Amino acid sequence: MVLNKAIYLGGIIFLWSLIGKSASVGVNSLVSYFLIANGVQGLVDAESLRFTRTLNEEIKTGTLSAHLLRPINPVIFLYTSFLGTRGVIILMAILLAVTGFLFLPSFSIIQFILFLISVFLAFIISFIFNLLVGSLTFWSPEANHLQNVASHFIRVFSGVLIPITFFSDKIKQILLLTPLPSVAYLPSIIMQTHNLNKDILTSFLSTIFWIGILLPFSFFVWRSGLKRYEAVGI
Amino acid sequence: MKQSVFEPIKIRLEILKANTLFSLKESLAYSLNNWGGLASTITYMLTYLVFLSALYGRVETIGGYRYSEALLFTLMVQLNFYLIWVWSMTNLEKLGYDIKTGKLDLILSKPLPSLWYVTFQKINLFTLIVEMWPATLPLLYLLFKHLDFSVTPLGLFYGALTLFLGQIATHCFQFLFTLLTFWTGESKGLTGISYQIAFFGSDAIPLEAFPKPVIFLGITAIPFLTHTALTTSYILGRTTSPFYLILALASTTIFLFIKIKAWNFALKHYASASS
Repeated sequence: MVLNKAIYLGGIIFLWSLIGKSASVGVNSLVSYFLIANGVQGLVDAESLRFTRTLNEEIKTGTLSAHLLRPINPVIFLYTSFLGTRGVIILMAILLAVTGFLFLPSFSIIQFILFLISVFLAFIISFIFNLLVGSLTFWSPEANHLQNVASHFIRVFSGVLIPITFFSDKIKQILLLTPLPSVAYLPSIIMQTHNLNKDILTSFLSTIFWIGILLPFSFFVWRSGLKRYEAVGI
Repeated sequence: MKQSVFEPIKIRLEILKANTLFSLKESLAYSLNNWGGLASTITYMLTYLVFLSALYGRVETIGGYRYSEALLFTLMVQLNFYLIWVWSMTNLEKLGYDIKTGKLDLILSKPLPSLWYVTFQKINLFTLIVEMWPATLPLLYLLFKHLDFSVTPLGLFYGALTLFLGQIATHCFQFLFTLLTFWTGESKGLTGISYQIAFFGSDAIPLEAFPKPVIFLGITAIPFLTHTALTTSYILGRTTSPFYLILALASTTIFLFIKIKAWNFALKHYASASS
């Protein structure tokens, strides 16, 4: 898995070093951007939506029943159990982000604190995405492809595949008002920008706004789905 | 009665036909899953085209390729990915699973050419017809809209040959990785790594962007450049010398030879999981 990711990232870095030369953008800055963006999205499980797969399996196979019988919140229980299985991935993601920091000329303590806050927000947004897509299994047991559709959107519009700044100004402004950039673009760009600018502020505020709206909504979708849940056995 | 010399070929063609028909029936049985697959591939293509247009909104060329040429490159990526998925990757995943679970016993006990059978056990034409083409239509539309290069018959011929050779070489390369399952017992990681290597940078990095020694390596020992990058380069007329084509032919032949030898060697070390 580690080798797999390393080869994939090697390809990405090589591609962006070519683009950096053509676009007259600093290669170091682009490499740093992608290392941090990929590190954060891996850390928070934004693009692969692996927690969605866990939920999908639990619902499809009926093993969710056992968790429903316990006096605990099944979503939180499943999420924390899932986090426990991600040791290697989390370590790898942190390593990527730290390598990304090494490509930066410098950064301040304030930047790093803001980065940590943005990673925390990214965790919550990713959790929401995972819960929303995973809950769709209650309506369609074969939700793998829906998960793929969501992954493709997240990869392109969150800044994992391409920095948001590469889009036209209009599209960039629209994207900054969505929760998507918070899982990759925002943490990465915070580390690259010494001053809090309008883009960072917009993305920060819109992320907090969307968390306020989507977090209760995702639990509402989960509860609505639970009403449809049928399983054989316990 | 003496067996005709054409009998082995006839048996192999029968296996191909039977496996293809069975795979098609299997695919058609899960219609909802197929619609989901279609939605997923179309979304992938649309988001990739957004990525490409955003990229070329900022730069004129990448590795020397203009937007229209990058679209052709993407078409080759699509074609290669689906082809390798339809006839090779699916079978390699299945082979890995069969070795792990001991189901390979059943195949080996059949009076069939086993290597041929495991190579073409499943050929999912449904994916090629229903998933690939609808997803490729927006790409084709953009390609024809921005077409500003010409293609010569010789370039197209060389390109078609390298695509064919690249598919076989890539398959053999990945097959060798899968054979390690005979010793490791698990194939998922091996299939993943072999895919990442065989398609390294294939999404968007043209042949011309690589240094000469890497090109040589990418056409011979680790054939990650033959299937897409070299094919596109020949079609666009950026590479005209048949040298790389001959190199690809030689390396594919060697890969095929190694594949057969490695299969026979691995079989001798096969300890069935079921018996």
